[in-house]
Amino acid sequence: MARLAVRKLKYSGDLYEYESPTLNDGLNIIEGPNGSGKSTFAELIYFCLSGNPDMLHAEKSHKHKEIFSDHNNYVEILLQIENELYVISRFVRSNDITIRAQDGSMEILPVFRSKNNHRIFSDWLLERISIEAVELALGATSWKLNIRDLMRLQYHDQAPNPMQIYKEPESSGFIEDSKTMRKAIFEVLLGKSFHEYYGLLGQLRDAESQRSKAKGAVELYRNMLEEIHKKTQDANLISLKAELDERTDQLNRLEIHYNAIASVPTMPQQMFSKVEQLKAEMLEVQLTSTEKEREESAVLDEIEKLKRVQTDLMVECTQIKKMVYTHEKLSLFSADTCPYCLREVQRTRGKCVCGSDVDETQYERFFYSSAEYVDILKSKQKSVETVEKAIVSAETELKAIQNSIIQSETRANEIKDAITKRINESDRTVDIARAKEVANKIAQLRGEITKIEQQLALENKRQDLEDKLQAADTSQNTLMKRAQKLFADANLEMDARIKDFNEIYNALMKKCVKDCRRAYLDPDYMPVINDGEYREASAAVPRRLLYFFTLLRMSLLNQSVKFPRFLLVDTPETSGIDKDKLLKTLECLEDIIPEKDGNQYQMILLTGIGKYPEKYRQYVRQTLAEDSMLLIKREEKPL
Amino acid sequence: MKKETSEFKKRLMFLKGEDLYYLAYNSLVMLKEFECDTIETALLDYTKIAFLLEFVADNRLVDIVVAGDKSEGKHVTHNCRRLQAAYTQGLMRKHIIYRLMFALERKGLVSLQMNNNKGVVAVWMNNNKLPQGYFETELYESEVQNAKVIKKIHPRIRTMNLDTLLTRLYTDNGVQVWRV
Repeated sequence: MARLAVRKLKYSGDLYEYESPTLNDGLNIIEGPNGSGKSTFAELIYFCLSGNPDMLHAEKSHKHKEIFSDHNNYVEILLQIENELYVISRFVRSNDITIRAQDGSMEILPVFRSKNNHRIFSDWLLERISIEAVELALGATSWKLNIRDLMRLQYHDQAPNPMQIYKEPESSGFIEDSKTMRKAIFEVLLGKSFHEYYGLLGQLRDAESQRSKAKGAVELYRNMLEEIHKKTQDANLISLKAELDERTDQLNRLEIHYNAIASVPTMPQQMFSKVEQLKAEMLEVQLTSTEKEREESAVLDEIEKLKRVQTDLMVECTQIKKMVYTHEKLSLFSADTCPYCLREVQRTRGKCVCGSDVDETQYERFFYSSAEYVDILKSKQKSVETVEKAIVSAETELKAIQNSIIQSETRANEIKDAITKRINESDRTVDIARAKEVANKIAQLRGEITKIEQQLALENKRQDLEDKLQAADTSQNTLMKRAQKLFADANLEMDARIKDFNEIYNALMKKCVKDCRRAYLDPDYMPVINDGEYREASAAVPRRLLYFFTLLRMSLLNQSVKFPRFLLVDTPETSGIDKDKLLKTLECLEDIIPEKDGNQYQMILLTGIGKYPEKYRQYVRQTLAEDSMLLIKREEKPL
Repeated sequence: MKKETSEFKKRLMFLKGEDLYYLAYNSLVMLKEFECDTIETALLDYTKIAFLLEFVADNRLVDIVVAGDKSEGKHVTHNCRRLQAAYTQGLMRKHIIYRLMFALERKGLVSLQMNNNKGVVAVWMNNNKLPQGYFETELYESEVQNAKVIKKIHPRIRTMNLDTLLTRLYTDNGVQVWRV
């Protein structure tokens, strides 16, 4: 149940103003001669509903002269949506619409969608009339349904070519004017399922794009893996995991094995203390050795000194011998030679050479007799012997010391060997070569494990991506199925609708158009008369107007038809149609209004003076004067 | 006992370096080797004997001097000390040598004569007064050799000035001498 009704139209600017009478439900006629502003009326309403007619377009050549000479001018309508009233206003030259609700709340929304404007006036309005602004896929682009699109089947404008049925879109772009678009508009307005279907299509498109991305990722990844592994076969996760486990086991075993063979065994305590013992002994030996060497050196010194003494003594001996020889040979001096003048003295016993009394026994003479010399010599020789003995004993001592030094050295070497042997023994239990072998194997295994882990990671990732792809696939398929179902349903429903439409349309057309035997919609929802042979131009008007009427009737009859029950008809006559036919067509309005709750719609008809069935005179809301325009010039207010 | 003690004491007191006989035989060997047996070939200045005596008696000193002679200026400390000791001894012996010479002269073994030109006393040996075969013994072998060496390195030993001799022997070998 979607109702729109314009209750009032207002224009206000510095120079001009206009206020329409209140427009009721049902038919509202505004009559006026040509050029009196009827189209202006319609365009102003359209303008407020976010339309952009040329008349109100600043850059168009047909722009409204007066309006664009005016300033601070805006258009305002009092719009009823369902049971809510809103004041919708839009400044001329502006692309923003202000919405003022009954509760006083205000919203300003843009007319056009852009990067910054995600919510526009159309979205708001469509929301209110429960039409989803579905995103239509049109080739490579998409288009979100807009109120202006729907208005093409509500605003029966003064079209140069009524054969088009639809009001021309604002821009004759590829998108907006496509057949797909027109069909979509029709379907959304009439169908329920199509509406849903189109909504789903948007979702489907998203799912498709997701799937594409996922597929792309998977393929890229696969290619990358191939590059890395140079394998065309994908190793599967399970076999990889098995390989990894196996290698890890092997590694663990090898590590244990390695630890067993490669660890340096701590020397058992007794061996350790034995070595310590040896070391202590070694130290002692070395100390003793040093001591002995010092002794040796001392003894050597002594021996040398002794030898020198000996030599001296020996020399002395020979010298004494020489003295004895000289004494015997020359007899130069005797015991009784005067020490001073060295002359021989005749000395008396008991008296000194100087004449004093002396004790003969105690009288020591200056000179030595041969015997005394010999005595001295003997004693010297004895000394030599003594010294010789000393030397010998010293030499013996020296020998002893030297022996003990050699012994110490030998002992030291023994100890050194013993220590070395013990250390080597404990080393020998480590088999270096085998340990190295195991270590290498371990390193190799570690390398392999790392590689496998990497591969696993990559595989997991790949699996992940493939899962994602699968999910995307599934969701896309689901959506597709739903879409297909919806499409099917919608088509079925549409068929029913078309049938209804045809029935209504056919009846109306046969009533209004002479020689019309059959009127129906073709697959593009365009009306065909008499299988396309009908050529009379004057049928164009009813063909179009009755199409709109049929839509309205369907909306009135069926709650699920989304067509908002609002028609804005601007001067339906064209050249080629005579007044009677026009009136007859207009009279069909009565045929489409159901008897009870008849006025649950609004139609605004702008037409020439008296160009309507007489019985509709009661619906005339305003008559526009000849030679005047819609907008009233403001009086100059005196300052 | 007393006699033994005095004998013991005498033995202990024996100093060969001051024994007259020691000095006597060394001097006689020296004079013989220097060929001082006539007035013409007399050793000028008997005090030289005092200083040369140690060299004749000790071949080690001769070695030092010989080495010193050849090595030209290399002075070994140890050897210097020995030389120094020898010099000091020479100084102290001067007086004893003086008395010895007179004793020998009295015995007729040597002759002394004052040389007025040089102001020194010359000494020469009287070979005919010496007992037969005095020098024909192996005992004096080393002294003879030493004296020969000294003669060799100082050819003009007989006529040389004492100061010059001392300089040559000691100063040139690094020992300071002083005039007494």
